[in-house]
Amino acid sequence: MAYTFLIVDDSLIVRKMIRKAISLSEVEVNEVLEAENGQEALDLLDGAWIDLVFLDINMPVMNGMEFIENLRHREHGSEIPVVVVSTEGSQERQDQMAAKEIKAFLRKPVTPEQLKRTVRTVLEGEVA
Amino acid sequence: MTIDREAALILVARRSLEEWGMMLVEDFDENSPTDPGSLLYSARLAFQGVVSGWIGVVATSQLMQQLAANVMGLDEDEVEAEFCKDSLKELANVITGNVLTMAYGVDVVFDLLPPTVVSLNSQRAAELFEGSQWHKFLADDQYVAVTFGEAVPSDA
Repeated sequence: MAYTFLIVDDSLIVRKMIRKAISLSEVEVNEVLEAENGQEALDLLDGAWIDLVFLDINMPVMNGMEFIENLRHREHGSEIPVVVVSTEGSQERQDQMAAKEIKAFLRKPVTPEQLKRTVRTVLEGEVA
Repeated sequence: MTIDREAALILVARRSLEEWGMMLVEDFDENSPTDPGSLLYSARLAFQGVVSGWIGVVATSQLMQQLAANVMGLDEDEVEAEFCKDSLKELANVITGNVLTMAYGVDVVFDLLPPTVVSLNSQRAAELFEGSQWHKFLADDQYVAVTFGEAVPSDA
């Protein structure tokens, strides 16, 4: 099965880094889509089925928390796995994200190896 | 356990440049070699919470290019101009998030605003450095400085 990814981060270099990690993960890739903020990501979701979302929290226009809130209220939105990649360090914020059934939380700075392992764990159930 | 915010800033800035940026970091002193022709850029990221303020990062354009190349696994000549400013923004983002947790603990929530980046001429650089406590380093022989700024009350 080939997967479609959505990377939501206002940082171009983070998007490129995640894209590279996906390519190194050895999972079959259908397409990798990119969005600079939550609103752009929601617009992309209107036209494509996404298998995994990588999501930043601190973004302009619509931040990651607002995006998750919108996503979970959409039809089938709760079925889309989300991996948060953020500098966010507070326990309260992480608990809020966990309540929204986030699959994994990666604290920036992240390495390509961490990202690669997370892709395989979330999509193919491999033990990290 | 938390530590003093200035100590946290120094520790996190060094660690971010070394581990994320894959750069060799040394202390900067008056005798450190600098390239007077280097363009300087300043990133500022404001935060709000139990304390409000901003983290500032100043770096040379060469450092930004090197950082972008290292993070993306590219050669320096493959780095596009837009990646350079983005690398400084992301460095400010990484430093701010980790400093706040280290200095104030995991039980405190902060809202971070998107970082901004501007270029500095010598006069603006001098004004920026005046009156603030900046911690200066050399990363791969390139100048970089960080500061923890207090928010100015709106009625000041």
